[in-house]
Amino acid sequence: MTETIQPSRSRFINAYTRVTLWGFFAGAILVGLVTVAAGVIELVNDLAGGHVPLNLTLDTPLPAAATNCAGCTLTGTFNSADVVVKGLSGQVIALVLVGAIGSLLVTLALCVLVAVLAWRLLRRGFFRRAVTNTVVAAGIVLTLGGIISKGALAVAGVKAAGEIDGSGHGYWPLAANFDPTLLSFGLVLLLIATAFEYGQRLQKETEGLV
Amino acid sequence: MSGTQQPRARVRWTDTLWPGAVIAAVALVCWNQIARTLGGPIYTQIGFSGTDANLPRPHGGTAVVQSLQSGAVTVGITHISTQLQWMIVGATLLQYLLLAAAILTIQVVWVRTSKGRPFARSVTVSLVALAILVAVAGSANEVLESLISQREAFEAIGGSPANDYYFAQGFSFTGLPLLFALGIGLLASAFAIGARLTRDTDGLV
Repeated sequence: MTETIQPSRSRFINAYTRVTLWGFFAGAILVGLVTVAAGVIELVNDLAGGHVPLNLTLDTPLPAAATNCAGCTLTGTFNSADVVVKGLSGQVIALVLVGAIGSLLVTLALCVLVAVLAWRLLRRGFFRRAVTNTVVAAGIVLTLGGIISKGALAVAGVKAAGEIDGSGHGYWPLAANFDPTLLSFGLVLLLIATAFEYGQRLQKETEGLV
Repeated sequence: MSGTQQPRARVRWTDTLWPGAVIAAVALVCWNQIARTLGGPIYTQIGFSGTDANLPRPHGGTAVVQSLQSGAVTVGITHISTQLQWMIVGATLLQYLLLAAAILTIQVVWVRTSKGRPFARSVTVSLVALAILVAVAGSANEVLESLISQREAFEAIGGSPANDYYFAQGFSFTGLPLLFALGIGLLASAFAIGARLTRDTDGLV
C-alpha cells in the first residue's frame, strides 16, 4: 500500500479554488436574498392593486400588415403574450400566488444548496449530515416545487383565459405549457444525496480509524 | 471496519448497453431534427411589439386584459440561406451533445451509486468532463443561438423592418453555462473528496 493518509483539508483546494468558493457562497446568499425580497415585494404590489401578471398562450394569425413587407417570407401566428389582467377570480389569484411562492422557494432552495456546498468545501470534513440533508431538501423542493409551481401557473393561465374569454371567441385558447426541467433536476439531486450518504459513512469511518 | 472495504464493482453487459442505447436514441432524434430543419420551413420566435400592432384584446368574461406588455410571435420562414441552415445544424448538434453528455454522466453516477461505489474515479472524471463540456459547448451554443436569432430576423424581415411590428434582438450572452459549469465543478470537488476518503479507508484497512 503506497497510499498515505492525506490531511483532511484537501490539497486541491488552492487559493484560486478558495476564492471561487467564497464567491459562490457570497453570490448564492446575495442572489437568494435579493430574489426573495424582490419577489415578495412584486407579488404584494401586484396583488394589492388587483393586477395579476400572466403569460398567456395565443394562437392568432398575424395581421396582414405584419406580413406585408418587401421580401418577407413570413407565415406566422401570435404565440404568447405577457399580459396584466384585472378582475380575476380568487381561485386564479390563489393559483398565481401558489405558483409565485413555489418559484421563490425553488430559487431559495437552489441558493441555500450552493451556499452550503461552497461553505462545506471550504471547511474540514465535507460530508456532514447537514450537507446530505440540504441536498435532500433541495431535491424535494425542486421536484415538488417544480410540479406545483409550474402546474399552478399553467392551470391559472387556462382559468384566466376562460375568465377573459367568457362565452368564448377562442382568442385566448385554453392551453398551457409544462416544463419538466426542475423536476428532472430535483431527481438528480436526490441521486446525488444518496451518494453523499455513502460519503458521510466513509468520513465517519475515516475519523474513527485515524 | 471491514465494511469499508467494498469489493470492486463488476461491470455488467447491461451497463455498457445502456449508454449505447442512449447515444443511439439521442443521435436518431438529433438527425430527425436536422433533417426537418434542412427539409422544410423553420419556425422561430421573433420579438414582437404588441402595442404598435394594436393587438386586439377581445373579452367577454369577467376579467379584462389591462395591458399587453410584450408578445412573442412564432413565424415560419422558408427559403433560408445555406449559412443559416448550417448554423442551425451546428446549434442542434451542440445541444444534443450536451444532452447526451448529461444523460451519460447521470448514468455513471447512478450505476456506481447503486453498486455501492459512488466515489469511483469514473464519476469524478465524468463530472469534470461534463463541467468542461458545459462551459465550452454550452457557451458556444448560447453564442450560436444568439447569432441564429439575429440572422433569422434579418432573413425574415430584412435589415430594416418595413413595418413596426418586429424588433430585432441584439447579441446577448448571459454566461449562464459558465455558472452552471462551475456548479457542476462544485459537485465534482465533493466527489473528489469522497474518492480520496475511499482511498484512505482502503489503505488503512
